[in-house]
Amino acid sequence: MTLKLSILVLGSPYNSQAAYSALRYTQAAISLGHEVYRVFFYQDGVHTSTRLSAPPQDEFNIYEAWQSLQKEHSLDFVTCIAAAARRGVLNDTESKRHNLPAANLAEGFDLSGLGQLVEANSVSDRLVTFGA
Amino acid sequence: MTTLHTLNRSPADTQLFKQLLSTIRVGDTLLLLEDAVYYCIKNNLNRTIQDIEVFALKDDVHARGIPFEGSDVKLASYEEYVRLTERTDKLINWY
Repeated sequence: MTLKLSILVLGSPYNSQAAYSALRYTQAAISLGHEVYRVFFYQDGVHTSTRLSAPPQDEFNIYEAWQSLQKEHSLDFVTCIAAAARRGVLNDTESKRHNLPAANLAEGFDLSGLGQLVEANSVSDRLVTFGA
Repeated sequence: MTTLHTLNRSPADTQLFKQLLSTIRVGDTLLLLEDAVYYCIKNNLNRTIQDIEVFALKDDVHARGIPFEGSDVKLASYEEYVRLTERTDKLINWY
């Protein structure tokens, strides 16, 4: 049976294991042939979608891992726009709108609202939550 | 109708575990991940949860160096976590 899955990430890298566990689960789901409909980054989970992080080179780079997973499978990654703005995660449009000097949303991520989470939940067989 | 419950908090979070216990039903499955794998240290989990199949995420058990000797808890990989999602009807993630 093939499932349509959506993933909810609520914890930031380094503060909780949520982003790592969600990554491993998503990779496993894809490898078993399931459809990953959307990955939604919410609350502190939005920190996973920055492109301005530089972890030590001898450590696992969780940001890069998420970005390459998105690219490889053309996944739909949505970062909550309100949760992101208050934590300093912005794309070009939001950066200009708030009159701020830089943007840092990684390629492959879209800023959008909670409606995208509600929609993902209603069309998916399961919403798998990784809480902080 | 069966439900897969996952728990990611250590045994220190007694309130969350109480909520889980009040919800879990015979035939359901429990998967321990992240700090919840510390439940594997003491075998009292098996006395609290009877007739429930309990799994612990293998990588999280090994990452924490938890002594894992012949308890009723089974080790599961991430792939097995996905398969547990597949074979149950509902999913509740406790965190």
